[in-house]
Amino acid sequence: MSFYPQIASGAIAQFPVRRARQWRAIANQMESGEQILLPDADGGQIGWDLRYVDLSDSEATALTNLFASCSGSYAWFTFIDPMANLFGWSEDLTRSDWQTGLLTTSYGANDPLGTQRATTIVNGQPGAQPLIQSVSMPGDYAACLSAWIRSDVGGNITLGRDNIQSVVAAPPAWTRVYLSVPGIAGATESTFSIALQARQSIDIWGLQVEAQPYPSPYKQTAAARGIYDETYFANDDLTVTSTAPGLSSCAAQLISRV
Amino acid sequence: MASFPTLKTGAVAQYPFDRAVGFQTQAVRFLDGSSQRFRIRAALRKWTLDLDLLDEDELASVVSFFEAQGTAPFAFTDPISGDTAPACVLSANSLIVVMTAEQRAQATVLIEEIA
Repeated sequence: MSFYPQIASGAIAQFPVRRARQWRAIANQMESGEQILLPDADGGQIGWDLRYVDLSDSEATALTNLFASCSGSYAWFTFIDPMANLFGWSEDLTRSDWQTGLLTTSYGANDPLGTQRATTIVNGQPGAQPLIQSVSMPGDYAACLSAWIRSDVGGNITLGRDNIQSVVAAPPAWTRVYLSVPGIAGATESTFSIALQARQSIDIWGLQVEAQPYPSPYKQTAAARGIYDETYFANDDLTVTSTAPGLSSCAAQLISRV
Repeated sequence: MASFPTLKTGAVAQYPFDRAVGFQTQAVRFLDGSSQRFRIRAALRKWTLDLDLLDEDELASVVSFFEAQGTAPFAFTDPISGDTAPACVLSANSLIVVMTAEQRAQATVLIEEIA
């Protein structure tokens, strides 16, 4: 399986990123002018216009190698939305996307926005218990797990990606914590976790995973989206402009089937 | 086979220049959203060289190279990778050069691989 490469900073794209979502519907126009539209859910696609400047030789090579291995628009690869929160159901921990183990969760606690969209998680067990979600992101990708947390009694929680963990404080005031590490090299999936210590209780909100090194503003999600397995180069030509020794710029247009 | 001439610096190109690789694919998209794709030809490369501040010797060597070459293929070495494309031609069969002053010339050379 091929994945669209990240640049050395860990980002997938540089600004500006253009994302064009298209829907398809079968339309019948009546003599009266009335229209009957039949949505065609399988026909949707997203067009991406990605422009890069000051790429190093290795970054440009990674892009051109993918283009060559796909023979232009012939073969597909996996593209990860650079603007998406890749967690499914970021505020509904009862969904099957989440593995809560022996943790108990209750939705409706006060959140940093002053609304009641946070979740209280309680670990009543004598040992640490994790909250887990797996994402089809390659282990080689840089990714950032982030969440807003607080705990009335303080203490620490453990953020994890696969087998890499980081202990962070859970203070009484809302704090955004994050973990930015690569996963297991060669893996096609990454598992993100937030582990509570024994008998610990925290409030949590804004769970987010992004394919970039640092967290962006939180985006609430429903069903998991943002990883597009069937993505093509939109064109059969890819032009790389060498702007100076070791520096290049280029533009890539992609189409993802939704 | 003839090779593209180098400038007095020993380089064949100046910054910025474009390198492109092109394929040709035909895609048929079906009602269920899936598609079937056919590869029509394999990868062929293109280069766009904007040569500036050429002196008259350098300009003459570029012009005379293409005068001698005509539409016949020549070898071109990619300035970045060092790979030699053995069969290239001048794209669109035209070469535009401009003299802006004494010892100051510009040439835009579009080269494409044909096999």
